[in-house]
Amino acid sequence: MKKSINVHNLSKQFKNFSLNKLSFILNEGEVTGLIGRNGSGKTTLIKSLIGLVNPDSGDIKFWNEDLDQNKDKIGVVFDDFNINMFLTAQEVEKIQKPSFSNWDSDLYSNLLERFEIPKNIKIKDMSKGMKMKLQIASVLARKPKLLILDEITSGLDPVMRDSIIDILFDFIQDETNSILISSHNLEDLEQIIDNVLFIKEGSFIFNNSILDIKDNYVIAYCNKEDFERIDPEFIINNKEHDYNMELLIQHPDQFRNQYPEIQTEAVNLNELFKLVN
Amino acid sequence: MKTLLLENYYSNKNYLPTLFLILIFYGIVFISSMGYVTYIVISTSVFAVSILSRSLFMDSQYKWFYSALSLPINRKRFIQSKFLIMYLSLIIGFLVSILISYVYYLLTKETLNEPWDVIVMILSLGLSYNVIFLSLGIFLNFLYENGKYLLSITYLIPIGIIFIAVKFFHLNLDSIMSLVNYSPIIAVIISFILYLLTVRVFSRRDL
Repeated sequence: MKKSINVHNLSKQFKNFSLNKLSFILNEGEVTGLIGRNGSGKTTLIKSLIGLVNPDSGDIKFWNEDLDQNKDKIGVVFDDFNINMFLTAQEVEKIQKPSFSNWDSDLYSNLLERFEIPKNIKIKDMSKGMKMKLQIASVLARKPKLLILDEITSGLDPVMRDSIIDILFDFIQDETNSILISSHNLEDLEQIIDNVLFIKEGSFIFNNSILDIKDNYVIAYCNKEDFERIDPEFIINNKEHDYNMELLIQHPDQFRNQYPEIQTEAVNLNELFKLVN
Repeated sequence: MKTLLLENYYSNKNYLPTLFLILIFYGIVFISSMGYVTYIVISTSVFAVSILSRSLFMDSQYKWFYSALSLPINRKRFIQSKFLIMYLSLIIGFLVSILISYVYYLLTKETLNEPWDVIVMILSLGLSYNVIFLSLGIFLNFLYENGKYLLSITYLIPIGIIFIAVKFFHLNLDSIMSLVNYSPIIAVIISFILYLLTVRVFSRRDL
């Protein structure tokens, strides 16, 4: 399986923040979700990948080559469309098309039609959802093999979010395509991702497949007395509520054998996010 | 490069008619009072400054470099486009000013007052000056985040350098005249050095 992205020991030091020796692999055909709180380093990592931030050390490869050799295969979508807001969708095509030998004008027109985006209204007069869809259409028309998406569903209503997730599902029907997506909408992410990169204060605290997480961790609910008698080896993290405790537990089978009376539930990204932050 | 130039064109497209009207207005005001050559130098400068500062302003307003650098475009190419826009806008501004001057001549039959060598000298000095100060403006824009606001101040930097040269290096009239004769070459060399410096600072900057 080819590696769309291979990051090894990526570090970057800022005044008040750093990325600390981040390593991960995104294989072709996979979707990886990048999650973490605001300011945890998601956007800085994405900016480092696409050359907007210069890393202090570490290696970033796309299909075993440098970024510059693969830029035409990579589509990047930010939460804002960073282009003159007085342009129209038609002008966006005229501007971007010369940079891509495989730009597909028919696909672009079809996507605009599907997304109900008129070709001749200015971007400034579009809703946030329309701007996002226009940005996605302009990226997909380049026929990329890798999408890097930064908070593309933030601030969108559920219908719009669903429609964007549908677009991503279509994209990954081609098993050589891959996606790296950062988002706070974890329910959306959970529908689509194979792997999760959980970043906290510039370091990965989880770098696993979703299946690994579901197999190796559970959420347990108990009272304080039960909590005190649980072997701390099982507990990754805990949160105290008014009436009970919520625990992130590793080695779920052993835990259930040892504490059959304690209620457990399969872990989901939302719970995982709340428990490790 | 085509993408970068087209983005600049479409960003300025709606503004161009207003800019041409301003140049016509300047033509009416300046040609009668200062003559054709001074008008051509001033309006070329106004045109190039307007296009370039608008381009730099739009870049930071909409963070266009995020999108541009995620296309198959590198930072060096991005800087090249800014210098190319500068030279193109100087050429277009120059040609439009000549056209307006010619139309003014057809309407008024006012002829040139200056001798030919003075005309060539003023034009080459004026255009060289524009090349130097606009190149400085691009450099400062990419050196500091708010460098674009220094564009008006950069206009004074070449004057300051000339002042220092005359005051402290005691240039005489002959050496000043030889500098004037070589001013286009000097301007292009300075512009090229500033281009190299701009590429260097922009390559190192985190965006």
